[in-house]
Amino acid sequence: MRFGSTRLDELLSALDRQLALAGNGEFAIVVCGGSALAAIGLVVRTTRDVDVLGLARTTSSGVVVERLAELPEPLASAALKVARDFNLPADWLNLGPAPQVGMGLPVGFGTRVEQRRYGSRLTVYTLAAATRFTSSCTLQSTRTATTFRTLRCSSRPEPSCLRPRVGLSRRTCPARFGKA
Amino acid sequence: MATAMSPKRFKAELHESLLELHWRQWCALGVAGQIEPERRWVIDLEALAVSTSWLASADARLLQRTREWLALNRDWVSTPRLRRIGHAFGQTVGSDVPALERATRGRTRVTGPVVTQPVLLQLQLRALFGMDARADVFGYLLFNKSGNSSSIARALYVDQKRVYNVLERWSAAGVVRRSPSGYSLVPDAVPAAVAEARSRTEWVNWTMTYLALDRLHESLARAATDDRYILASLARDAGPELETQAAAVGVILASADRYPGAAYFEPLADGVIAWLRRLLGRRG
Repeated sequence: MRFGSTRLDELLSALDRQLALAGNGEFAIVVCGGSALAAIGLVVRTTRDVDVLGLARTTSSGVVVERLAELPEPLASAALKVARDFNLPADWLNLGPAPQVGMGLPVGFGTRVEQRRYGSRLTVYTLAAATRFTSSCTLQSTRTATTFRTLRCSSRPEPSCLRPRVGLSRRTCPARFGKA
Repeated sequence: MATAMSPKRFKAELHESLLELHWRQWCALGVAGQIEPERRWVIDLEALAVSTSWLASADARLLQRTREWLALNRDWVSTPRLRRIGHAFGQTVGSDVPALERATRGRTRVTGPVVTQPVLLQLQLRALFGMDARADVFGYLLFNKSGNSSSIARALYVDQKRVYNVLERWSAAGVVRRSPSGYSLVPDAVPAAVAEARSRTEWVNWTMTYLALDRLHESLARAATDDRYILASLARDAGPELETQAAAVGVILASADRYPGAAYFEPLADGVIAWLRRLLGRRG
């Protein structure tokens, strides 16, 4: 099953409510890949899962990503409930790209993330929509190669004007987003 | 046009209907109450007692009357079965029985059961067979085409070895017939009074029915939320058992797989209310 940004919001909100029901702590996660872009509305294409890079810890210099060997138990349990409730595969929320954290993230990664709260228990960090990126970074995960083709915008775009045009694929938007 | 069931209304209706079901059955057993006694479904005393104590916080008056009744009529109660069902509900009800006598001091609003009522077939069979698993096994076979020792023991919460011994003896005596599908009663072996009671009643597995409904009721109450998604998710926890028991009385609940997320709440709520109305003998 694949889902788009609206469904992704619904799933992450459901995850937050399951965490609240269980009353087992709050979690801040950093997501990447197609789900991250869908979460901030940058792409309309669908995704199969949510790739979690790690847990987010806020510091004075930005967000630090903490590497995880496995999802914390309350988060994993809540994710399984959501999987059952929405007929998703059990690993819809996974740590596929997590090994990248050990190999190092691009410089300044922690300052270029955008926070989104899904309720009282879940905060999701993704690459910021309106950040001007001048470099690209490639995250090689054990499962799949997840490429962050950063957005080459000639000027700082408004989020509202991004939506219809932005895509990660050159095929869908060749003029504006060239090879990273 | 029917309006959508709200979470508040569903929870309230589930709560009230469950209490009414319990009151109806206790009234048929001899507890004084303003409610019309049960006339359709054969009452399962132990399942009713355990379920009532499960719902105790909801109605203190009902619990008090129940305790009085059990203390006054303890000879009708199968303590081993009470313990087994209590265990399934997560309680140790058996240990309560001696303490029940204390509740009977002073004025009481209960009487002994009028065992000739068809819905008290379980007690009639206990009068016939004694306080023994045989009464419950016979009752099961009266309403179910056939069964083997493990399926009957599972349905009745009685010891499987004991059921097996009973069935083997009855088979030797020509009371039951053994076939590949299990044991079934020989029609001629059914006493006339029992056959008459059977013809005027219906059977439902009250232990499983109350277990499914009480768990749903408790998890919804404990969640203390009207969030449709969360209520739907909690209902999914009990989903398969709810579906099985509702289907046993002809109510088909919506399949959870067909309704992702919060969308499951309304069809489930409608189905559960229809099921409770069926059990209460109401239309719609």
